[in-house]
Amino acid sequence: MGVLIFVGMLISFLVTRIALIWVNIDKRYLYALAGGMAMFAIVGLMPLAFYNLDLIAGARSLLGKVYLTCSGMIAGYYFGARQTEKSTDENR
Amino acid sequence: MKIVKFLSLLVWQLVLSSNAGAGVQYETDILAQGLDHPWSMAYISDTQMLVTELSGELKLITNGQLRPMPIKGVPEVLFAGQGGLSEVLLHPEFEENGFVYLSFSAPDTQEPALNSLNVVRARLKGDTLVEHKTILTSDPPRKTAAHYGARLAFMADGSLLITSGDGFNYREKAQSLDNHFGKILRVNDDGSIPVDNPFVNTPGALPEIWSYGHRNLQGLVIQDDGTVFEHEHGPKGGDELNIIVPGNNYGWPAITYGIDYSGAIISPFTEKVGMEQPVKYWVPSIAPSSMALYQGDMFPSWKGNLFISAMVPGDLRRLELNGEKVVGEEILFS
Repeated sequence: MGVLIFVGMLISFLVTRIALIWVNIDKRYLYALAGGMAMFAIVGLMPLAFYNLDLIAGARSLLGKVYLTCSGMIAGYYFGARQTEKSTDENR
Repeated sequence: MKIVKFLSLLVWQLVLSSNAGAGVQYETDILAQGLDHPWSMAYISDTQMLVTELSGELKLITNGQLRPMPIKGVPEVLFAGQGGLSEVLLHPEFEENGFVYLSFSAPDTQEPALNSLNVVRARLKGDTLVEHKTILTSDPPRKTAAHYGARLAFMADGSLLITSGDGFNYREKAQSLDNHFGKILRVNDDGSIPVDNPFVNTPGALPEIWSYGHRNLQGLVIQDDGTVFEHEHGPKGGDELNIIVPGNNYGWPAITYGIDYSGAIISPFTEKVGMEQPVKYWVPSIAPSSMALYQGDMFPSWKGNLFISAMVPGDLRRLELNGEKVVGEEILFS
């Protein structure tokens, strides 16, 4: 399960990094969006792939899916913030 | 040279261990080929056997020959995930009444996007099932196609035990008595409720519930003395063999020896007052898929032993019992 989430986040963050070449949006918000969408895709699509089972127990309810999506957004926001800090440090 | 000797010894040990069973070499005969997910067998006679295919057909094997045409009159099943046509069981007086019982998953009649475990009785007339009667439709229906349980067994008094799994997504409901998830159910052979069921007078409880707190029960045998053995899949670890006493709570998911597939803890508890302990549990899981009780005379030392098919890594194992205790476990072959 951890591998699934890692791969999902990796793909979404890589796409975001590429998008940032052309898009001038605060990294924190774009990565937050990416993280949220990755988790949303995982919890939303997983039942379709596994006989309508929610392999992440917390995703069995709609509220659980919302929480997990929000956790993806928080993770993305933190990642974006760290990227912003790195850029600031490198520019000094 | 030392490394070569060590590796040779290691390979030799592996060869010996692959032929477990006190050095006995087992030969296996193929009774039939070309079956699509065979799930259950029922012997009509010494020469005829009914076999269910999960995909939805009931086949007849006569003198080792698989009849290509399926038995007609099998209800339509939902063949998806772990669901489909599951158990076939003959009525104890099959020779007189011809009754055959089938368990299977099927779409819910009210909400087709949902499905449920069903048990149907029909009469076998020639190569056709007729006079269908629904014995059970599990309630409530579920969206998942897993953890149906679906094993059947007749007790000595003619009542029918039915295992009903927790539906995977609905595990907490195994602890409630107002639904069929994670239960062993007991009904009469016509689907009516026995008056001596443990919760028949409990307000809010479904009267067909016989025991609860189960996960996905796929083994069910009854000894001549009435002792009911059941095995069920745990999550990641925690497969169990239980002796079932009516009215008792077998703990899932409040207590378990397993963890979730994600690595998350389902419960920090392995035991609790008021919840039964298994007579044996397996960590890591062996994925027990069926169970038989040997009561023949051909192998006297096996009399009264339980035989369990395990999907992980794929073997047949014998459990030796002393009363209600498992005193030995042997992998016969893999």
